Amino acid sequence: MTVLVTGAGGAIGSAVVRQLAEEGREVVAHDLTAEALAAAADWAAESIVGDLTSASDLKALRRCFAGESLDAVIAAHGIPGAGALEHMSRKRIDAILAVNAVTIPALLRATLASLAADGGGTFVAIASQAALRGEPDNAVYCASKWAVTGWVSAIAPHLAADGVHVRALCPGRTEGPLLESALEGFAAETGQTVEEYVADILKVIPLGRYARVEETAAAAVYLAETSSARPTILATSGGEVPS
Amino acid sequence: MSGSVPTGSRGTTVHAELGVRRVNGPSGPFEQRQSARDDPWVLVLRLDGGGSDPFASGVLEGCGALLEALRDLLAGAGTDRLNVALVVACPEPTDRWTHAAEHGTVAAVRGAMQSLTPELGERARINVFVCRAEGDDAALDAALRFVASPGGGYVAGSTFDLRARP
Repeated sequence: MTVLVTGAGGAIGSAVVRQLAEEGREVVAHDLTAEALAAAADWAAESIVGDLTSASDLKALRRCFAGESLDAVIAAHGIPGAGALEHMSRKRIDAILAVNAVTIPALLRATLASLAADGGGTFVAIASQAALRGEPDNAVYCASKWAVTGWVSAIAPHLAADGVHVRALCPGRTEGPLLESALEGFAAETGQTVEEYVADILKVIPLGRYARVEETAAAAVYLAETSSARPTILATSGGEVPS
Repeated sequence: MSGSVPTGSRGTTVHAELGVRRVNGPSGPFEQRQSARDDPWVLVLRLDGGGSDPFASGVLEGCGALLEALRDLLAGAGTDRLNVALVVACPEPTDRWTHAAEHGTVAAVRGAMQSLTPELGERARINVFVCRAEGDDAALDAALRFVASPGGGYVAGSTFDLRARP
């Protein structure tokens, strides 16, 4: 089984790469820089550096897999986007929407032929629990993630007929740099210290803790399987925002 | 619509005056109108459904521009309370990609609104209205009038999806 994982250098992405490799899958790791890919180097069979917002890099990615079969694509890339709308520049708005949302359908279309080959495959977009509800001081990030799950819900029935299953995972707060960055942004907007903000947040998660990256990765790997039916949208949020 | 927007009283003529009925305005995805001071600001995002990447067109160009316009509206409002109607006018989808792009774009606008509703609290009341570009004008008119009516304020943060035929 060959799986492409984007954002493979991130906390969730590298955990996905590791789990797949430990299960004996051949993993192609993709990220923006070679430095980022170092986190997944020990487990990836191959690494590709590229910018998913670049049309030419997407074409190059398509050529990489031309004539080959892909069993799954797990899109684990993304950037934080916390902040009040009033403080957001258009440039920042565009970056969040481009990286978190626009690259998802673009990535699917670049890999669709390979996913459809040999009986079909699975495309898993790692969105966020922010795709399932509104969050103050996070409107642009929410817009980007809602766009993903809205698109997944609509395209999934169309592509299922071609043997390609499109799904979205909506993780809650998962340990790692993205969460740390988001916490800083939220704390700043509410005028709290990060410690104060974290104390409040843990009270609203029924399980009382953040997700471990291995748990989020396990949910992504579960959705990537084609052996039996899987939900189109799945939240892994410790009960805070169930799907 | 063409020409200047006539002024008028709140409620009964909001829709017609603001020209949402026929969105044939200037180039670009937006029209932005307010006829009288207390009337809702109506930001109209017209999706064209075309091009090589309808999702990018709708989400990045369209929703991005909508959020920028909303941000600027808030900045200019000072302490005034705003009523904002975000109208997403969608053409009939021509294929699965434009169909999915429409859903992604509408979802993006809804997600932003549902975040901004608690973020802004009493400063602004925002609703989303989704309709077909060449669709049921009476339905959009009725929805805008209802929200602007004395009894319609508590639907803040809700979406009126008017794409389905009755």
